[in-house]
Amino acid sequence: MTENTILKIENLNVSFKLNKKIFYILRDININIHKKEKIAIVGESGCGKTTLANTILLLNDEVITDYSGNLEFFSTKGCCKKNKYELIKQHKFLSKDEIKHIRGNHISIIFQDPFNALNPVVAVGKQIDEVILNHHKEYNKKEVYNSTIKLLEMVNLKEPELVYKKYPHQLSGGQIQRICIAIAIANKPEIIIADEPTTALDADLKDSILKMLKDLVDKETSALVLITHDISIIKNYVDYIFILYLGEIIEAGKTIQVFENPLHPYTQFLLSCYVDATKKGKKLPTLPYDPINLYDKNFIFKKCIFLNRCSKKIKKCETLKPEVFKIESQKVKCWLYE
Amino acid sequence: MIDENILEVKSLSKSYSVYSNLLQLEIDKKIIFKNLSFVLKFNTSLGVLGASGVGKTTLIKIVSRIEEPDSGEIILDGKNIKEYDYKEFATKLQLLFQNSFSMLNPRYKIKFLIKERVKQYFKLNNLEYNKKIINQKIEELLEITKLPKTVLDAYPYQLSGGQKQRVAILLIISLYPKIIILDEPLSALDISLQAQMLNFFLELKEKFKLSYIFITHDRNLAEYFCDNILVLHEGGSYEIK
Repeated sequence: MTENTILKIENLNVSFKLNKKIFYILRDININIHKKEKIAIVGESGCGKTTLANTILLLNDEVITDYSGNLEFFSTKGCCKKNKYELIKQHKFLSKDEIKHIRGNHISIIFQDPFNALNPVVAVGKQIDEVILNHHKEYNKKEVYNSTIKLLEMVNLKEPELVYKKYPHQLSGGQIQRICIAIAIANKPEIIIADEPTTALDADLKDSILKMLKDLVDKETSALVLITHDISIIKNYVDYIFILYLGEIIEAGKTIQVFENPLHPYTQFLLSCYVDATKKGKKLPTLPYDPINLYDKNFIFKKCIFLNRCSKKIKKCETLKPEVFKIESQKVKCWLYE
Repeated sequence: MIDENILEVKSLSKSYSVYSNLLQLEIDKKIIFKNLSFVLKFNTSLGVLGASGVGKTTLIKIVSRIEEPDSGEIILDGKNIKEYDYKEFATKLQLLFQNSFSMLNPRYKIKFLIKERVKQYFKLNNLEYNKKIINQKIEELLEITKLPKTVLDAYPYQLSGGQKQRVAILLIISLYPKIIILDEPLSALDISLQAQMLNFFLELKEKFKLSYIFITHDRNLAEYFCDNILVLHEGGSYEIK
């Protein structure tokens, strides 16, 4: 850990208890996020990406969720008494006000579906006002209005005064996503979590939204956690990639290195199944079988999690859980690199 | 047979009226297509590319008789689409929507959903059927779509994303159509499932000698999957590659 660390996730385990079964959703997650850093968490649906985002903001249902490990947040804003919040160890003792203070002010999130993220009966400008007012009670009406207009300009919305008065249904998908981004950056948080920010958008909008997000994060000196299932779109926008498979980080490293030299068989597969004209007429690679169940304790704690779908498996994979091996700056959880 | 046109669209035009906010008076006309003509050859795929709002969905609606064009005609398998009765039309052309999961009624088990479709197939083709024949047909379809028999007793919510998509395709295939329109069938799926489904679509194309109209906004995907590409532009212009 260096001085610049703002979020430290150490041996984090998250499990849900549903229908008398325990689902081990996240296991042994280790991520350090530094100031101004942009990271991406990539994985298929159901691998625990959104649970990880929700865990950072303590948004999981407390009745069914069990946590273990460390999740520490280091505040650099100087607006609160404490500099360090142990979110997981203490979360039951943090007051509601403290949690509310962290959410939106220190860590904010852009949700997957922008259409459902906004209140349909309140003008979008008012919804941004509300976020600013929650954390800046000293502002008067005009100051709030001015900051909202400035935010709308920052997210490249034309005629911000007009957009301020519009309702969500009067805006296009791209515009709504920009409003959600404006809400996320309203209080200049130290960390912005973008949970699949482009999934609901058209291909031609994806790049412009990601570019804008990157520029804003650079400008506001926040850190960005980009969560996505589409590894191809993030290449130019993040510094580090974490590949998540069924709740475990199986590979992590600098973006360029992961793209140029993927180590884990799953990462290699992810990068090989993209289509273009050169592959015409050829069969695309696919993974055999379905992923294993997350309540299968004997499998997930004793064997390699990718075992049943791996084409390069060795005998050791069936009997021992792989350790994390470091190859240059990349980390990989696979016995092939022992 | 290969050179035969299964679908011919001849000088199709369509425009929508734009109304004023206050008095609802027609103030403008938005041209979607102007003299759009293209052909879909037997057992080939035609990709339709274009930004959102250029009329990709309008084109599907017109081809599948949900909407009427302003002018132009569409010939499907040698006959104008207006001349088909709806039952016959269903055996020629089927649609797979972006969110194909919505095709599956959440209240019924998969077996019931497939059974209804298979019965429809026998009725449309004036064939006699009984329980045994239906079960045989269901087994045959499951084998084609590589679905395990266990899905029959499951409800839609109990299936994985890939399985749901396969069941949706099974329902479409059960009528043995000649053309399938795929409206962004992969955009809701993970990358590993996308590759699986693309392989599956290509297998079906060979097996049933199908022709596809593949709506997408991904140029790479269209270039991989399709034999010809129709690119729609704003204002009614288009190009064919």
